[in-house]
Amino acid sequence: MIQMRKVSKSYGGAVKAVDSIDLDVRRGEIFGFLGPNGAGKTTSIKMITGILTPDSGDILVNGRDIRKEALAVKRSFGFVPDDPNIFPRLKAIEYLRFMGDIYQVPTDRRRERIQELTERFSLDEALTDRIQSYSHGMRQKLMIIGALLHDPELWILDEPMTGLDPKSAFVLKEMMRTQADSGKTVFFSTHVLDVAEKICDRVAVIDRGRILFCGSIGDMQRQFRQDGSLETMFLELVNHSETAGDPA
Amino acid sequence: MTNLVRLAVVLFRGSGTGITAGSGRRRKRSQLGNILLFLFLGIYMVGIMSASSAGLYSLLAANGLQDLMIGLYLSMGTVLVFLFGILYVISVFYFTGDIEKLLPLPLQADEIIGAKLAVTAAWEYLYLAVLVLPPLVVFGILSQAGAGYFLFLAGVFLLLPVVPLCLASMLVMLIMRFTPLARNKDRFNMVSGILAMLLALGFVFGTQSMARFDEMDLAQIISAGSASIAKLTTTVFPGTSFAVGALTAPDALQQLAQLGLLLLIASAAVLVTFRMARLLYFKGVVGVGASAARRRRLSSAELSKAGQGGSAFWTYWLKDVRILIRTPVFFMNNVLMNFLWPVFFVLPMLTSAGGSGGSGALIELARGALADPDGRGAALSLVICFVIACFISGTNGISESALSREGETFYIMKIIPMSWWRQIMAKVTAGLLFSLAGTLLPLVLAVAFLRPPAWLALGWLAVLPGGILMPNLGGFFFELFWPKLHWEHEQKAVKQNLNVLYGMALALLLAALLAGPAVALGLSAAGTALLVGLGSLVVAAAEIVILRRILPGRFAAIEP
Repeated sequence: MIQMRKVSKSYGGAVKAVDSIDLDVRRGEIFGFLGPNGAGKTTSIKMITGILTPDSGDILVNGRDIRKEALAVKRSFGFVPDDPNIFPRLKAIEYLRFMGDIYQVPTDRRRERIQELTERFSLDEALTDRIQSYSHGMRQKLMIIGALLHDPELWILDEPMTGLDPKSAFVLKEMMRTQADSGKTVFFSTHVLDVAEKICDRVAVIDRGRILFCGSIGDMQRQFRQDGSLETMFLELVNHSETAGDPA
Repeated sequence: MTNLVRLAVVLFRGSGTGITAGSGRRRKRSQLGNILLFLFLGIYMVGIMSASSAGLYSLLAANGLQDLMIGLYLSMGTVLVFLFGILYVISVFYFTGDIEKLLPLPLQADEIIGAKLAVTAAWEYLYLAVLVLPPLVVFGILSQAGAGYFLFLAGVFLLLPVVPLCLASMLVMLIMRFTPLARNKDRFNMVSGILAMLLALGFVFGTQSMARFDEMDLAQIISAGSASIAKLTTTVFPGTSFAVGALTAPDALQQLAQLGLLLLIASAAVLVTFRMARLLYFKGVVGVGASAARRRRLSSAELSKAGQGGSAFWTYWLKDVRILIRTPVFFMNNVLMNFLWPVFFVLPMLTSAGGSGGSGALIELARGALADPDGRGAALSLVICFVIACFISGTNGISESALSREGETFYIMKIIPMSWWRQIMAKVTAGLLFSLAGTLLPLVLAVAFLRPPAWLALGWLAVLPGGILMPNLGGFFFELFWPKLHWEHEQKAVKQNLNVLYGMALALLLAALLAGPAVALGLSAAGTALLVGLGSLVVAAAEIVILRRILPGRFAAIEP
């Protein structure tokens, strides 16, 4: 579903935020993108969604290059950013209507989706309020609803669990599973290793712009020859990368 | 006092240009281009002000009235500082993003206000340096004033904006004191802005009309010498007459005394403002950004309505219009400003129309001039109408800040499945709507008062499309190169955004290039309408072609 080939990106020409990475996200899987702060997760996601242009390399979404078939690619995914502070002066229902119109969601389907999603995320009693009056978690939920309104083939979520209450986090995880089981794809970045461990079919660990590992949790355990938790293996990977990257 | 200075330094550091487009070398090149453009604009505006004031000087000097110039420019400066000050003060004191960070700190209200006043004053000085200082320097050069004049001019320049800015601050603090009582704070804040602006305009024009003189007075004043006229024009604000005195008094000692009085009044104004800040500021600013929530479930009818599909273009347009109207800073600076200039143009006309004798005759004279299809009056009125359309469209800053207003959420424009061209056209259309409304207001009043023949009224309408489209499209170019996306508060996107100034300069330049030949060649009304109306549409078409060509590259280069 997502293919990245030798993709690099640097800011200001000096530090490489993403350094020649290769990544394959398959259709029908939940793929977790893990890494410490500043590892290159958000930069990678921004390149996949077309917010940033890679310095080199190719990115294909569902076999299409976003630089060549921008609108078709953009219609195929729903994106939830790491910062949910969008259009605070609009009312929630106005934002959803905006998303519905932009993604051309048919009227009947739209009503159904708004009702279903707002009830699941307990926002149905706050739709007439301005986003400005929402808490961080409520904004996050609204962003998720907006991104899923057109029922996209691919979900791209940047730190989606941040600020969510336990019930909403559970609902989201459940929806991710249902989505993947129905043949669609979920690609998300997270710091919460427990979540990744529980729901991801495969994960990639990125640090200092390089992919350190890509595979299932089982693959990782086999590689490390241990039955440790994802957290233990993640820390070992990242520490090893830091030691290898540090000048002696 | 130490806190005040520290805070002012922090606020100054935070009020940089923050321009972003691309990265690395490309960004440096963009910033260099921006600096060059800024210098060009500064020189261009200073040149225009200097040239026009030199012309005015020779006109006045022929009648020995040259001292009048000082009073005129100083009072114009104080009025500008006061009116712009109202908008600045509301935004900077109450709606900037730093308020919520400052309120929990152990700072006194007057320390916050003092620091914010300093930042506001810096921008006012910039306006004065471009609009008022050049004419006063020209006066000094042409009147062969000595070094003393320029020394006193420096003192006057530093003190001039203090009183009007303090008055604007006091007026705003007084009105905003009642914010916590309002249920819908955003709406109250907007109404407060409008009320403050109306009060300010009423104050300015009220005092001006008190100082107005009829033909009999004028004769007496001329005989009494030009200095007394200068005093008449400076009754608007306390202290302005001392500023005039500091530059026109016959000897250095008297000039020094006048400057001392100005300093005294300015200091008193600052002290009173600080005192008022202690009494009123916290009571008004606490909770100013809070938004009321009703937490109400949508009825099935409402859900049906909300769920109805619509055009992506109009939804996008509506989103932009809603944000413009609902965000107090955008509303004050872009929407309200749009209707402020028409009031400037129209109010003097209304007051003179209400007058008797000479002023009533003036309206009759204008009506006569407009009725003749071959006369210069009709042609000139078309030029004026066109220039007003360009001016209002160029100064409201809506298209000129269309990308900057998105701020950090600019990335939304990149991820939604709507072509960049359609998004930009939706944004320009929002600018067109407000420009049209702002331009129609003085036009309708002009039709009501001047009662032009139908063919001329239609001619006025005919020059509008180009006069509105051309500046709105032109203003967008700067945003594509230097969008100001990294800001903590909305003020920076619209007021501390040089693209708005560039857009205004381009609008005025293009207006001058089209209207200038029409006036210089003495074209008839039909010829003028063709040249400016059609010419501006041709320019707009060229702008569309260029925009379409550069858009993909420029948009891709903008990396939030």
